[in-house]
Amino acid sequence: MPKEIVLPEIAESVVEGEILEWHVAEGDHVDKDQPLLEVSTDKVTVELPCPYAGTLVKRLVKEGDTVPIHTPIATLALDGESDQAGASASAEAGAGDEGAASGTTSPGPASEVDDSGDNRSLFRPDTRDEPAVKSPFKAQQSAPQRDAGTRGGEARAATNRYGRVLAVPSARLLARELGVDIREVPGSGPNGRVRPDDVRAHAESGGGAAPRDESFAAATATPGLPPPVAYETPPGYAEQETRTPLRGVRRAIARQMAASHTYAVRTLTVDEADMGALADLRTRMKPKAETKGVRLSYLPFVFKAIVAALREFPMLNTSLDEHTQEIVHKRYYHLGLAVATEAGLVVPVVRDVDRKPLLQVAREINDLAERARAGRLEPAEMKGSSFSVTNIGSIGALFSFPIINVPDAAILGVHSIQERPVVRNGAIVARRMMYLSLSFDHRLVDGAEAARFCKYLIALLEDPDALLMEAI
Amino acid sequence: MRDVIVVGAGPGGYHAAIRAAQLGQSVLAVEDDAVGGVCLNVGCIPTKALLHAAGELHRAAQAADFGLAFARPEMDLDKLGRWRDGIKNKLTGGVAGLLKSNGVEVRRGRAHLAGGTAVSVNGEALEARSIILAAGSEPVALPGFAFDGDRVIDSTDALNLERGIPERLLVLGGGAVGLEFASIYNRFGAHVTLVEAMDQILPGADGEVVAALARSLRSQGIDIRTGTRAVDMDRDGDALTVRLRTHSGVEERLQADRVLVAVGRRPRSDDLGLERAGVATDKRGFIRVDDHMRTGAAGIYAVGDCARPPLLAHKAMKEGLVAAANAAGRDAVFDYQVAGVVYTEPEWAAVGLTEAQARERGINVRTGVFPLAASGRAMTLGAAEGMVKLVGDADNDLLLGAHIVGLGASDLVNEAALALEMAATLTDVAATVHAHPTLAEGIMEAAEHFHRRAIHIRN
Repeated sequence: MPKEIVLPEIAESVVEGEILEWHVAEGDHVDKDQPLLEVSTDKVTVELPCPYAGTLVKRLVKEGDTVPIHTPIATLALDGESDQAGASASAEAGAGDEGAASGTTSPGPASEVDDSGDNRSLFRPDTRDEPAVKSPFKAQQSAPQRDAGTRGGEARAATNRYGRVLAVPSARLLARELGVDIREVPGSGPNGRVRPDDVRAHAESGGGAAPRDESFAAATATPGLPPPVAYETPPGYAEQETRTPLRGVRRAIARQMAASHTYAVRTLTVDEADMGALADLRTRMKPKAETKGVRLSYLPFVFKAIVAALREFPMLNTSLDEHTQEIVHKRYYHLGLAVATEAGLVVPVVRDVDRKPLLQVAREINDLAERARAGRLEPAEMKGSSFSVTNIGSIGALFSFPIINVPDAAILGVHSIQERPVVRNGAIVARRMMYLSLSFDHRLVDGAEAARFCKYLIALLEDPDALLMEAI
Repeated sequence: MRDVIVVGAGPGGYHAAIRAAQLGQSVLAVEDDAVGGVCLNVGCIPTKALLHAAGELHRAAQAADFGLAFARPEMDLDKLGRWRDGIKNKLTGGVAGLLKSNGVEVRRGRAHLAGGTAVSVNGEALEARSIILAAGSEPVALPGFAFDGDRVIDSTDALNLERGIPERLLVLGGGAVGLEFASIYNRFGAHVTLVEAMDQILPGADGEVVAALARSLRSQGIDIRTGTRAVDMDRDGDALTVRLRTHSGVEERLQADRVLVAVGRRPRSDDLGLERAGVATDKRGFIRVDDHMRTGAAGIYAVGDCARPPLLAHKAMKEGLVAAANAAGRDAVFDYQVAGVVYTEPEWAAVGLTEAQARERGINVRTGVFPLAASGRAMTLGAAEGMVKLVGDADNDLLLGAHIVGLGASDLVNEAALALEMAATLTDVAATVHAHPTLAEGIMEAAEHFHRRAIHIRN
């Protein structure tokens, strides 16, 4: 009997993964721990090692599918029984097809059903009858990858085919109340089933296109807020557009950003620091750090200064737990660092910055940034920040308005250090200046507090002696 | 001027009247017989009363199987008739009370359309903004088998068990009415032969499930002849001699003491003055309606048996609600799944597409079947016969239809109807916890069998 491989729990609180690439073809032999396929979760891409040695009988998920954990992804004929099992599996699949085509329902031998082993999902598709029967959950999962333009038409075709509208009665009634043609409403349920919320969304979007990616729509839909925005192709320009599904890291970013934008009261305060003294200090320390194999940037100093300032202004190190309506005051200092990668923005976290020597902070920043760019971060490494930093310096904008990495209370944008004219003792002099832009959640942090946080931080950056006193 | 006049106070009519009143309309209901219509007076309700009595008779005999031997029950058919009428009176009285408490005015008399949205009742011209026609249906006669109320009877006459149970009853028609009376008379001791012209009883119903019903009824002693017509009848002598002819031309003369003609019902649409109001009918006399229950004439709606098949009280009721809402200025359509039920024992019930219908639509059909012989609950009820068959789309797991033969099918089917209305998948049905032990587990198990993972049967 072929063994079923399920999508494992890749990391804590990761609930689904997107199948990026299969590394093993059906019928090929695979060793234990040989990479079976590549899965992208919220923010990382992992290669899943095969838990057994055997022959891959069937891939149960396609590249591009997004599947919940514990979903069967493949069947494997274990070594020792591979030939026989593989053959019988394909024979069974064939028989299933035939049965479905002719409509016979003659019960097969009960012994064929293997319910032993780790079949953790009750909803696993009946592999013996693939492709005759597909799990409804599969249809749901594949929904986002359907061509968005055909969804409405598909729902309507289904209506005709079954002689009934796939809409719950309350949705049908609501549609008539709102003057909406129920057949035009894209449904968010299995098989495009229309629910009252779909009708409302459709009506509010002017009866045009409604949210297509159900999961995103569901994740972003907020009572009282307008529904997510649809894009309608201008007539005649369809050829000049390409639609790509919102998936993987980009989708994770979109969700996180929407959550931040929707659920935080983002407020900006901008200040500047004279980085001359710190620049000199860094120049002196750099060669020494290099002997220890560490490339020393400004960031570790900034991190240390932030921790000192957070200690002084602890409200910037809080989170608002909206589920419990509690403010969480943190006595640890995990600093997230926004890193631009080819796939998009990720925010790995340096933990316990307050308890680590400068050099180790530097080492960890470099390591996380490097692996982030290579797409090789563990999901756990991108969770649990208490405050974040985004370094816009390398690209060189004057200053930016960062978006808070919720549920953090604030994020600090650090910018390039440039010689700028400033007035010192009545004279214009050139100094190595850096803008600091602090985005903070005004629900948790008052404006004056945020400004004082910046001032405190700047004092430390401008006076490395003071910084060393606080940081050591 | 009133807002709404409802013609007929059967299931469709009284639902329309009460709902229209609930929506703030002034409503007059016109009824030329008793409120409650065929359903309460000579249809659903009295037959179910008799079927229950017949079932008890059967179960009393069956109880010997589990060690309870009863003496043969003494039958007091007069008392049975009074019990039957008592239920009917209580219910019709209840409906009259409901109409009254909702502020619906009821008039006795026959209503005729008088042009526009006016009707004449007992010669009096009444006008309303909307008319809802709910005139119902009546049994259709079979050429050569004219009703005489004595030996050649219709379903209304057949309710009258008080006049005695015939030794030999011939039932013409294998639809719901024929089957239910065949069951009643069989249980009360008549030798029943049932003739159906089509190839199966309940023509149009799912063949596999109907076959199970036919098997069961035959085993109870009902002689079912499908593919057979009653050609003519000889009334001479004590017995009626009916000539039967099969499709292949084989003829047989069958003697019967009474013949129940149950070959169908026709809409009561001829005497309504439809032409005057510009209301059109189809060839069979059904009033043409759209899904808003609107006839072609402005302000005139039609619901229930007089409008369109299936001739079922629950369909008429919902149609009445739809028409009332539209008459009250709302926008309602009838877009519901309608279950069919036959109260034989075992009962038959179905909703949605049959396997054959689904195939005709080009659907990749798959079925899940659960025989009640594997149901613990059915066994404890001494009724382990019948089956649940679910039809679905193999491509997307969508439930398309449910077909049930067995004890309690009339109640079980409502779960399936809800599932259809909710566009449920077979997985939804299978994943729903069903209490144990219940007959409804059969639906869950059939859904599991659809995925070939039923627990109590081989898949």
